[in-house]
Amino acid sequence: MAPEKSGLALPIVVVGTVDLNRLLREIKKVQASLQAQLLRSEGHVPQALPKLSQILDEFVQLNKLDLLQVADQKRAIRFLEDVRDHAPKIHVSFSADPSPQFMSKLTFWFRNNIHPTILITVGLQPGIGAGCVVRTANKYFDLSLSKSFQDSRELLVQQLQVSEVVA
Amino acid sequence: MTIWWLAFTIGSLFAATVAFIWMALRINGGTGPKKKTGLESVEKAAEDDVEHIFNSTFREELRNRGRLHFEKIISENAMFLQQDLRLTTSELNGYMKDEITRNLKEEFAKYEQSINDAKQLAIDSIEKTNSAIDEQRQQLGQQVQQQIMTEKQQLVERFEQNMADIINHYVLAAVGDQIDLNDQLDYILADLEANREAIIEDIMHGA
Repeated sequence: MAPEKSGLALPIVVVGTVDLNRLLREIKKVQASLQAQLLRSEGHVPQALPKLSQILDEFVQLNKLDLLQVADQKRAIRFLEDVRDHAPKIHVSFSADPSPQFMSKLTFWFRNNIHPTILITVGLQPGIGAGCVVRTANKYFDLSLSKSFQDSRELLVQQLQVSEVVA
Repeated sequence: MTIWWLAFTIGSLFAATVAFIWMALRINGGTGPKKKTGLESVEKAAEDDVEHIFNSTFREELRNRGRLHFEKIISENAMFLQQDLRLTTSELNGYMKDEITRNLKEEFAKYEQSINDAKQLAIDSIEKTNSAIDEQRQQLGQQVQQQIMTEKQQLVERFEQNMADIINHYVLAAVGDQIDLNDQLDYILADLEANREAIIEDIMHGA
């Protein structure tokens, strides 16, 4: 289930499968670019990387990788493919689109408390009001305000009955 | 009693008539064939004396007296008969009146009894009808009451079932847009922390 222990980690900015695939495509693109430069320079190893995106830059800095090295390139790709294929995935729905800061904090919590490579898919359910709805492979956790109201229905009925008696 | 008086009066008149006729026959039938014996002279003398005494004038006088006496008796008996007839008629009227009154009373009693029976029958029928109507009304009232209670219970249950949704919808419509996700972060993290073990369990052991 869990990716193999390669010593690498996902940055917080990589939240879900979309970010992971984008990161993987970019690394492969960098790898292809470096390979092309190597072929064009007739055996001279390239000395500079192309401009990297923020996600890839954070990934490289977090894992202290040198993408000019073919071994690090392969290691990173293998890690990301392994995460893509085997990392646990979770779906979280909110009533509105979350901000990047909010998702960073939430991803940090999931990576520290649930699984270090967990991938989060964000959904939108305006009807839940507040809170969130978490859906794993087999379970459904309704942590919304709507569910809280439904769970407190008996309390509401009791309060209404008390108010009727007082009236 | 009146009939016996009438019979007695008629019998008395008949007896008086018979006695008068018998006396008339005795008086007229006294002359017979004379014996031509020695006594005939005596007898002839007696007869002459008798003829002398009971001459036609005397006999006429007796007849007149008898006639008068008979007329008197007839008159008296007629008066008695008239009185008896009046008495009998009066008693007969009273008897007829009593009989008719008694028969009328009996008939009226029977008629009243019939009316009372019919009245009682009608009252029983009306009471049965009233009882049936009351029972039917009571059943109908119970059914209506039960149906009202059922509908009321259904309304209350429906209201209670949908109350959370109604309040949720109201709260969301009222303040849903005002709640920022960043403000909810602590609340969400607290809920996630409460369900952390279940999430880990599903991730580690799920399919």
